[in-house]
Amino acid sequence: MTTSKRQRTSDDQAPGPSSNNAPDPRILARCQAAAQLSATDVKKLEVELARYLLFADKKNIPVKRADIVKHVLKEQPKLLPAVLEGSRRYLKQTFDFSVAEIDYNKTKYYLLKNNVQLPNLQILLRPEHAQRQLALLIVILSFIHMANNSLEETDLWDSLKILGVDRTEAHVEFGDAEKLLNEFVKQMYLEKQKVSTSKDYLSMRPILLLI
Amino acid sequence: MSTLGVEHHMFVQTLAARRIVSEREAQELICKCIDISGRSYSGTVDLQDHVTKINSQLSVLFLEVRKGTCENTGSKYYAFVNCQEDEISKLASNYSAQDFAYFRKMIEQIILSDEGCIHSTDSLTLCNNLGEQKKMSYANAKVLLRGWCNERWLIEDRSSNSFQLGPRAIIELGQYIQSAYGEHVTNCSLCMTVCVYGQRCEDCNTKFHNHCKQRLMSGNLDQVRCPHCKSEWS
Repeated sequence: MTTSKRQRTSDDQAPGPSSNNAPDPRILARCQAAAQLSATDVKKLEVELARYLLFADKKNIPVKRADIVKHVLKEQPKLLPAVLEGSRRYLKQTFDFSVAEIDYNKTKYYLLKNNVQLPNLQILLRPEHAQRQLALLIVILSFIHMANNSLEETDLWDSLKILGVDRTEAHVEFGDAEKLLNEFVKQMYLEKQKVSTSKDYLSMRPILLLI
Repeated sequence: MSTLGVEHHMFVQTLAARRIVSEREAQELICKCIDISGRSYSGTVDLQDHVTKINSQLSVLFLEVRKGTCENTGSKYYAFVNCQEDEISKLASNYSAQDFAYFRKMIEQIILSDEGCIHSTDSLTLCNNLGEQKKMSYANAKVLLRGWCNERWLIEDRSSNSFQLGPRAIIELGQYIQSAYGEHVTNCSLCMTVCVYGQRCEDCNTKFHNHCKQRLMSGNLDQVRCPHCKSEWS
């Protein structure tokens, strides 16, 4: 899957200090200057942010920077870069996840990326019904791609109907297909734009590279 | 502090994704992860050893791979549990406040009951009064119950048409049950952990897990006695 050119993604930098969990002294100094936080406080925030990213990843919905500042950093945005670096370390050490940062619509999003590239892992990770949903997603993405990344929703449903997926009927495997499509939009695989009252256009979002 | 290899990362990722697996599944999984990662191990694969390694990294994040036993079947399970209930973990759930209220009521009824289970019809009437969360339809309740059985929070016993606490509830909520319902729950006299569903000796009133008693009695089939008071067990 390729990323759309206008998006920027940045992954972790090279790993910081060794495997011990103490914060990098330069970062610590920055944090402490910013908010008079002790090393223990900083570590606590790093753990909370790591957990926050983990739990959000479980729901498969990217996290907004604003939400991190609100729920984890308690309205102290200056702490984010330093705390994020610590969280990245924990996630990499324990799970081998990296934290990807994505700019979209003037908002910064974060989500977890799996560093383990072995294809068989994907099969282990996903229960069967999730694998089948993934198959549907890939079909939808191909239709959108063939329409030059802008496909009217009604046209998409016409194409899906040929494959036996109907907007109005319950599908034997996917159930409410329209609800599933909206889930994909919520998970930011797809984007829906209203062009006029009756026309919705669907296009791909680069989050898809993380399948 | 030992660092984790690819096989450990794969294993913990899978456990985090699946939340609970049987011991057999866990054993198969770690072997698969070792195979796929290309590592070679001599001798048998020690599942517990790998779990301990992983837990040493998970503990700082207040997460744990915890082992437990199903009260119904006696099978062992490994669950990926969150050890700290905070604002952040509450954001993670896919369930609504109303779903939670119903779940809490269900497990409360099971814990407070004599037999450690709740009849199916009673489980449905529970959703008529969820306090602040008002009422829930029976249809909605049925969907939730099905989901909770799939996730192993509950077990549906078809023969008695009742619900019991599943291995996930026992493993994840064991401490909570102890602290919230202390006076109402007894521990199994053999393994000393919370016993919601089990057998009671009529004479001395001690409680045992079925599987704990089974293991003790496996040798002597002629004289079945209460392990605690030694009186004959009917």
